[in-house]
Amino acid sequence: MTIEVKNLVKKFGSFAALDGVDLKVNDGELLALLGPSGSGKTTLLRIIAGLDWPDSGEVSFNGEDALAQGARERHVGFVFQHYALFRHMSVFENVAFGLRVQPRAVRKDEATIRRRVKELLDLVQLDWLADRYPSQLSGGQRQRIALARALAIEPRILLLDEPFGALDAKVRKELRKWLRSLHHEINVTSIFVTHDQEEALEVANRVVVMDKGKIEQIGSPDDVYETPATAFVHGFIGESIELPVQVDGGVVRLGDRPLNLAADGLVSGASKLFVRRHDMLVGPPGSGAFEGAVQHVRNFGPVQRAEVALSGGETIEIDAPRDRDCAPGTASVSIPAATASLRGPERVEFSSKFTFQPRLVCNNGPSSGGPNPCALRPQFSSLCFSPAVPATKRRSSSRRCMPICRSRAPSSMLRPPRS
Amino acid sequence: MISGLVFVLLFGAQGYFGGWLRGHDIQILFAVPGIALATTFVTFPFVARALIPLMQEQGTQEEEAAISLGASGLQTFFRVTLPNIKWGVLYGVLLCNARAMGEFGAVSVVSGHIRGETNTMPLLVEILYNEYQFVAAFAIASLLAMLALITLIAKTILERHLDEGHDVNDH
Repeated sequence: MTIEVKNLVKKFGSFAALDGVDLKVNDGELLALLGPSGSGKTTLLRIIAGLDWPDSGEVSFNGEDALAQGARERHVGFVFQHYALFRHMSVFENVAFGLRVQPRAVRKDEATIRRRVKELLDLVQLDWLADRYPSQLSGGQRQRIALARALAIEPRILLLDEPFGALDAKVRKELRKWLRSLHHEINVTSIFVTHDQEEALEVANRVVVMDKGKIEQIGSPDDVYETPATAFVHGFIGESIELPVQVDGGVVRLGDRPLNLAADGLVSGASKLFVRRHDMLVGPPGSGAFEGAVQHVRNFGPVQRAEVALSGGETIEIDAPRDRDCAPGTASVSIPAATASLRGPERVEFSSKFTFQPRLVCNNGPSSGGPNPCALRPQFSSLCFSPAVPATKRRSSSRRCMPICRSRAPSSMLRPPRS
Repeated sequence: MISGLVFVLLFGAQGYFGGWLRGHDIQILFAVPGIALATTFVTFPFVARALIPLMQEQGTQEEEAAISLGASGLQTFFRVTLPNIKWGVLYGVLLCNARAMGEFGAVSVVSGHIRGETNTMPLLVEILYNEYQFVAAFAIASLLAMLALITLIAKTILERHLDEGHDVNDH
């Protein structure tokens, strides 16, 4: 079942929950709608389910108009964040509900219903809970029952609204894996809403990133992480450091200090520089793009997190592997490898970006005398412009990107030296 | 009392609907329908007050789930909504009943005090008391007091049920 959504608009008062959304979901796909709260993702899901109605726009299932049908006729399985199990019914009756309320003409006999419910409970591996009531189940069990209940009506589409949002971290991770394998098994077109990027990137085939009622980017988990299309996506997915910079005749400045970044061909003006935390490295003074002082270093898990006060006054946090030498003191911060991108200049309402592609580089070690790889070697991969169009008319297709120069240094040179 | 006067204004012989009602030979004031109307009017808020917070707390998710599973409006109401609020409804009915037993003002105005036909217990207490039949008046009053005690016990039991059954789909 393919789902197609065209130019969907939904307003609550003057607040536009959905502001011209276009989306096509392929048959058998597991799609994630990802965005911060208030981005309209749940509203979109509810409209597809028929629990809400858009102010304008189209929704079609396999080409037929879905808005002409109510939620009852759409045959959509919906899983709620807070389970919405029928609290006065046993687990068995909850799952059987969808089969029991069918019109008499198509309703199956009791034995068939029992067999089908049993199958579904086996599928979610909870057949031993059939006689319990929802209040006697754990959160993870309740959500699996809710899923079995939704699957009972053999839905054409499965919609999940923050299905793991109310669960604790460990159960959530287990259920993610389980959902993925379940989808593999039943292969029904599914959309799930989440604000947890890790969940979206891990579970989905494709990710739709939304903000303020608009779609910012649609792509594979790799796409949205590696080549974010807009400043919002870069800031939202992965932990990014955002620095206000000034582009001035091919020179990028932070405060009044020129950065060791090549930016030829960029429109001059105020821009934003985005870098991933783990793509920045701390080295000896003078070796990188920024100068500053490491103030604290904290260890957790496989990384150490250094808080660095840049000479311009900003404080940033950098993640480095535990085995890197990183101690408080004056230091230089480089954007070694990495995808750093510049967005801006904001004032002229143009957004231009360039991306440093290859996994750069750089290390750390207290100066070893060898070639210092910390010096930045920017690798442009693409430059995107989006003309200043009023926000209401903007479409992602109007963003034009052109490749610039691929790589200025062979990436083999950019490996960090092993110490 | 005021609501009783309003009913007189609406349904009385000189009231807005008085002529029409007389034309169709329907007796509302000084008859059982009047008492029922007046009592319903003053007791409905009790049911609403018991049910509205309960339904707000439970939200619409279970109903939405039922609809998306293919249930019709009636099926959703009888299979999902009503079972969820049944203790709330009973609680409201009980409060309603308590208020109806004790209601004096509005009923006093609309009933007409016809003994054996349109009299209620509180009205009877008043009549008997005014006729200096103190023993009978106090006997009826004690009966009312005992009914109040029974109501109180029933209310306590229902409240216990209301407190259960929450928080299955809570956050």
